[in-house]
Amino acid sequence: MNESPFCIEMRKLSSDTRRLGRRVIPFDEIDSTNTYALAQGQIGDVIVADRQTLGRGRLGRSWFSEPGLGLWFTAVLDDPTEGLTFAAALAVREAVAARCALKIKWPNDLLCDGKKVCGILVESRGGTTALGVGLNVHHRREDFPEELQEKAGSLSSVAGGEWDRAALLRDVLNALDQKVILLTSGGFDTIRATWAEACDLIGRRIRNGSNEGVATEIDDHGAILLDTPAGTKRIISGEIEFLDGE
Amino acid sequence: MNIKELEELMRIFEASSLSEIEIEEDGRRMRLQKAQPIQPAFQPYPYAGPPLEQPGAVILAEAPEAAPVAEPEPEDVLPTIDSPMVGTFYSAPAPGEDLFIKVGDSVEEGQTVCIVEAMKLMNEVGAKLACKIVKVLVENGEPVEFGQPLFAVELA
Repeated sequence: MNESPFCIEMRKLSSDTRRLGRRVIPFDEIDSTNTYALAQGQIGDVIVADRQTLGRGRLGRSWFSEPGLGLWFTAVLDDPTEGLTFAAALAVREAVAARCALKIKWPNDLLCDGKKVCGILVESRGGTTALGVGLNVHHRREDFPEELQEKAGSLSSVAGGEWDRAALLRDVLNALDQKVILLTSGGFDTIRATWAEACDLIGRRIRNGSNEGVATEIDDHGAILLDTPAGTKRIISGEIEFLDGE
Repeated sequence: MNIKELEELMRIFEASSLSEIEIEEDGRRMRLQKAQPIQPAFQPYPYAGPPLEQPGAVILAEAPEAAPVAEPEPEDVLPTIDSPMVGTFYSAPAPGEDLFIKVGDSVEEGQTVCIVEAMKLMNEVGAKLACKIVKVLVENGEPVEFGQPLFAVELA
């Protein structure tokens, strides 16, 4: 069977010069690149799909991943290094920085003009870690389901222009590879300051679950220290919402 | 040394006749010391101490300290499956979906029993040995500490 142009282009990105993406495994359609990665990925593989039928985010929320519109991929690593989820956000941000300035919303969502452009979901099972990235690339506003149109954006909708998904994947993988090398050689400290600054949190009023307060610090492990009426809370999970505007 | 190498080292150490081993690598020193009884996969239930700190390398080798409970009931000595990290405990893959496991279930080695999440890293916790779930010790969505018992079990 002939491979589609998408698969041919993506497969060409396999490279022995990186730890991640030595083998790029493309699919025209798959249930979820993370599911595949956890079930049968080998360390160093990158699974990329033109369409995910069951793409998902945190806690099983579905991730809209229709064909031709985005970059949906998963890198397969061994045990998760501390800071990996933040490194992934920095890598995507760096890869598009020349054309689009993305902000990081703690811990690792990427936004532009208040709209979510990229989501990252890292899942770990028995020594295999699936680092899944969903990057919206070509969506026009009307391509998103109605309930997402106010909240979601894509690189072309926020920054304009044409984007080549294969070139994007190459740039993200190159950046991610460098970050992973930094993490494994020097620990989370090597990226913490850059990531924490990109989160732009300090002094902001935020809500996390039932906790509301002012973020005073991002600690050594990436947790938010939140000054609340009930004392300082350490936030390590869940979503945050800005109470003082985006 | 990554976690996998550390686990491998611990296995070799356990099987050896050594009582103590000290290793220095890249400026980080680690000491493994045997104490009685050693139960690497399971800790005594219940967890009743103060919140446990994020581990240094040494903590993995510490003998399970006797929990400061005055008169332990017989079930208190059941082995437990413990949290591998600080995070939030989830008993199902997603809200509304079936629980990974429930009381009375027999669990195979490696089977996922829950997720502990920290900063969007969803860490599936697997049973290290085949066992039967006797009690679930934390609520869905509850914060958990490193080493905190999550399930009391009977070994199969």
